[in-house]
Amino acid sequence: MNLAWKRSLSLWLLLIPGVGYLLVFFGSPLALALLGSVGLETIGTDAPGFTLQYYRTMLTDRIYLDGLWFTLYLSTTSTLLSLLVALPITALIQQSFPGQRLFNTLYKVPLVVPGVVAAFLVLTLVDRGGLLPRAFERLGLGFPQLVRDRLALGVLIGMAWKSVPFMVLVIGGAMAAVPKDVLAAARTLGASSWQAFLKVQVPLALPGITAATLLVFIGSTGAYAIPNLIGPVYPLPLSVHMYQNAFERNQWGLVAAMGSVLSLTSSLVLLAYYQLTKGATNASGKGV
Amino acid sequence: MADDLEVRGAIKRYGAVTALGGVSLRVEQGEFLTLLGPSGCGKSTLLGLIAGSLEPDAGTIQIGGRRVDILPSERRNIGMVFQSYALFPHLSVQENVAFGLRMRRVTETDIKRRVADALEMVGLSALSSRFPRQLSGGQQQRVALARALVIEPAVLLLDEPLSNLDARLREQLRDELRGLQSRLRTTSVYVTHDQAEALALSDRIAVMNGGRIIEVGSPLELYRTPKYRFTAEFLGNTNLIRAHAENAQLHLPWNERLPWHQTSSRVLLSIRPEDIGISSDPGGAGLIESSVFLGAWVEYHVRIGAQRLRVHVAGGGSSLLRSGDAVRLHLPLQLHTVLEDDRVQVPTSPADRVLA
Amino acid sequence: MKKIVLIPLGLAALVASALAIEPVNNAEFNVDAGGLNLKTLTSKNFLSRITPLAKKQASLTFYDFTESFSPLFKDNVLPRFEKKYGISVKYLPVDGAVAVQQLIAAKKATQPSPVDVFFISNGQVETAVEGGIVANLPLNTLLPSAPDLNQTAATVSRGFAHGGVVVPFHRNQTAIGYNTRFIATGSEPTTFEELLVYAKQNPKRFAMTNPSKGGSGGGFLESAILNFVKDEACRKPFYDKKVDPPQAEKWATDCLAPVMAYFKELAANAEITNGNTDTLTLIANGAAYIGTIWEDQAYDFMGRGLLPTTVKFRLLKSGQVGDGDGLMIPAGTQKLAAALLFTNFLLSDEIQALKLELNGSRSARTTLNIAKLLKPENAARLLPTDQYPSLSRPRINGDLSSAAQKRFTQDILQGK
Repeated sequence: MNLAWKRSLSLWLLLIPGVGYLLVFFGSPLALALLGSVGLETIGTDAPGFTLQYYRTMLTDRIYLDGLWFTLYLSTTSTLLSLLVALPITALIQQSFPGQRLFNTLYKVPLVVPGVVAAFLVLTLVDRGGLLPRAFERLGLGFPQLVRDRLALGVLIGMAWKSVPFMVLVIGGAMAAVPKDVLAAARTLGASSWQAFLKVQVPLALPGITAATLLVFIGSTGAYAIPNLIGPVYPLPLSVHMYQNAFERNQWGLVAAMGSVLSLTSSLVLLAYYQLTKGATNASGKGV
Repeated sequence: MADDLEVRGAIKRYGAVTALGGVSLRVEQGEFLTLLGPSGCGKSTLLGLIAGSLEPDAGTIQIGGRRVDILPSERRNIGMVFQSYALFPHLSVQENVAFGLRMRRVTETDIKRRVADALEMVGLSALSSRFPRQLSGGQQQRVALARALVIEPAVLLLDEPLSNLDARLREQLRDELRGLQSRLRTTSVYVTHDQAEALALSDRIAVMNGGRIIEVGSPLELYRTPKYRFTAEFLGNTNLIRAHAENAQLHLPWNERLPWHQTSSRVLLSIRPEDIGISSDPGGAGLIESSVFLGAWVEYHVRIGAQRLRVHVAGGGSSLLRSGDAVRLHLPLQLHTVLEDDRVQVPTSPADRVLA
Repeated sequence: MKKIVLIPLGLAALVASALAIEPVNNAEFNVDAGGLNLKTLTSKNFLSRITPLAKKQASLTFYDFTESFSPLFKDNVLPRFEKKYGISVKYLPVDGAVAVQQLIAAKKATQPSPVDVFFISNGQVETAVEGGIVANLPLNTLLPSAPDLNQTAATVSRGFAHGGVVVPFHRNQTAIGYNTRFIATGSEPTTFEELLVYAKQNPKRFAMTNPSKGGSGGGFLESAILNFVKDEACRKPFYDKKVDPPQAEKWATDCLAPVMAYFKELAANAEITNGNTDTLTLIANGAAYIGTIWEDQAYDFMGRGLLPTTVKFRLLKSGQVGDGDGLMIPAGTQKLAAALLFTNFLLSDEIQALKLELNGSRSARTTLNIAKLLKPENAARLLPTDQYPSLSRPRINGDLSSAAQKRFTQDILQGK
């Protein structure tokens, strides 16, 4: 019995590094945010006690509700845009072409460029009085408004620009895992390299592609610098509302509620993904 | 649909390593030719060049008289079967087989008919809507074969297609392959390192080593009368005996002389173990060192003078000789000589080797 | 109303300079005088009484809540002070809100203050005073280097009357910036109404910072409120600290109709930007001809070549709001004399002028002769002397401002 006790103790001790790490660095902030969002915990002052007032404000005030939709719009659209750009690039980097090494280095540049800098790049390029509008003006052409515009086109371009290299890296890895023979088989059967890419490589790399898409989507729900600097004046994404409420108005409860709603949205998307992929495996697994 | 295939002076280098050093080869229309050789001999590289997955550094490849080495894979009209099967895991069996037809924009009704025919041909009609991972290795390779054949390719390329299968299945599939080939007469190039497969399937075999073709011939020619030592040793077992000729007599390394008519003074004999007779003889010069019973035949290791010979005795009735028994050996009447490999002629004009 | 208050305050300042100081809002001083008799300290005997003691204390610690002032302090102010008095200053840039919490925690633990002089954000003053961490010395009348302080700025922070315990070191001013390449001086809009006319004639050439994204826009909104809200009941809470957020929201609903009517027309023809810098950039690259600015930031941009020197500043005739930040001496300081001497030094003509020259940071000192103290080309970059400080107005209550910003977002931006 003493031995059994010792064994269970050592088991717990062995679990501490892994589970403990998760609890301390992931569990506790999440728990604090959840508690904060219902008024049970707050930063600086005393907690007001249990209340759903923050969620009510967040989900009834049109400013914040528009912010939530806008955040989802930005994330979805920029993710799809970067996927659209990343796919041809992954196809391209598998081929050999002159200047490949240079290209392989250059396309990763946005990975190390902070969002603020990306925003300023977009600003200097396409803002009123920026490089492109001036060049167009000289040619007697108009230039569409891409900064502070209703559709947030500049923001989408900036966000997609930031996430393309990450997508290419993850998707490229999944693509590289597709056996060479399978692609060669497709080619001998009459598929051009582009057809082999679309009909064979892409479907086989689909798990990697969806994973990359999800990661970029979830990451982009927290995008702050780019929409804050070059987005439309209304609506503002939740990230900007969170910053303003936290650091300018000291409304931490509202911030926690917004954070919880965003996390919940991301979790739902993830759950849907697992459900779908599980379904897909079953469907093909059953066969006839 | 079948066409002839001609490779001329193909060279392929990887940096400092020459994988293929100027290979020329002709495969006649409807012929089944095997590239046989140890791993690293260049046989898969040659196949890659024909398939278009590799680009030659020099040389040309023609199919049906049309130059294809400048064309991408998909425009060479070839079918290919891989060691790894290389089926599309996301497509059902019938969609795998239909793939090439869809790429060729064949009408849906024709696709249906031809896919059904192809699956029928390999005996997999019942499994048409399964997915590859639900099939055994042998079934997968049959699908791959159907997939490659359904497009009626000008040339069928097979890259060690049986190597991943277990022994029994390998033999079974080998026989099926031979049956198919004799029916369809598709021009085929088959890569293997397994001599039994090569002998069983091929119209002709090209033996390769060190990035070159050593010699080309029918299985019978290459087995019975190989020109080079490498062929003799790689294709089956053989006894190599150095001897010298003098005054119309051949001096064997033990005290035996045979009548000889050839002029060269030094010769290398290649005698297959099953071509040597053996009889128990207390006064015989041979001494049995060991014997191994292998079922269909018995393998004896016999010392005679300074030479050790391997002798195979087949058939029932013969009682087993024991280690230490003295024996007499009976060499065949027709002795076959081979050339050392360093005397393999590198063709200066592509046509040379083709005719060799 | 403000003028009525100012006169007695000004008189009080004059009278007090001759009299010994009294604790602010309390019977006793809350600070360890350390051998200094506070009851007999006057601005007249300040230097002779304090300097020897300060020199003996030999060093002090100074907190700065800003990011922009670091070069001014480190490279200019501190070396000069150390050279003049031989007192070394340990300089620490801090997060203002965090530092206030730190001082409150030290006080609760009855420990000495870790800092001796604190350059504190105006927005934090109320928390600091109510937390009891500010030495209750009437700095507004005590410092001999600054006998001419604007007494409103010296006793009130964002509507919170602290009575002079935080002395205004830095003032800033929201204004209108216009590029003389496109708008000749003298023909620029001088009132809200003229600005609207200009914006309608030149669509998208007026850049206004989104009030919730930058103070130059928030200040512009407040200035518009000061101009357009006429109703007495609605004007009453402007400088009342006791407004709470629900009251502010009601005020924004009831009182801002004329302001929103104005912005509805203006915004339709203006470019609303994402921040102070965004507005300046549009002016700088010629996309906008006129816009809402902070005077000190625009001055700084011009000095660094980020804004063309053809840009000039002005204040609308109805007045525009400005703000500022001050210096406090923590009640828990162990080096009161050194802290007082340093504070006095920071308010001196020399430093106030230097600060203006380097950062465009204004002074609450009313008799500084800018024309004499600044290089002419630098003086020319500032707001004209006939407009500043005469057209400068204090910022209104923070909760009103937030409520007004929210209404602006709902009425103007949402529908735009």
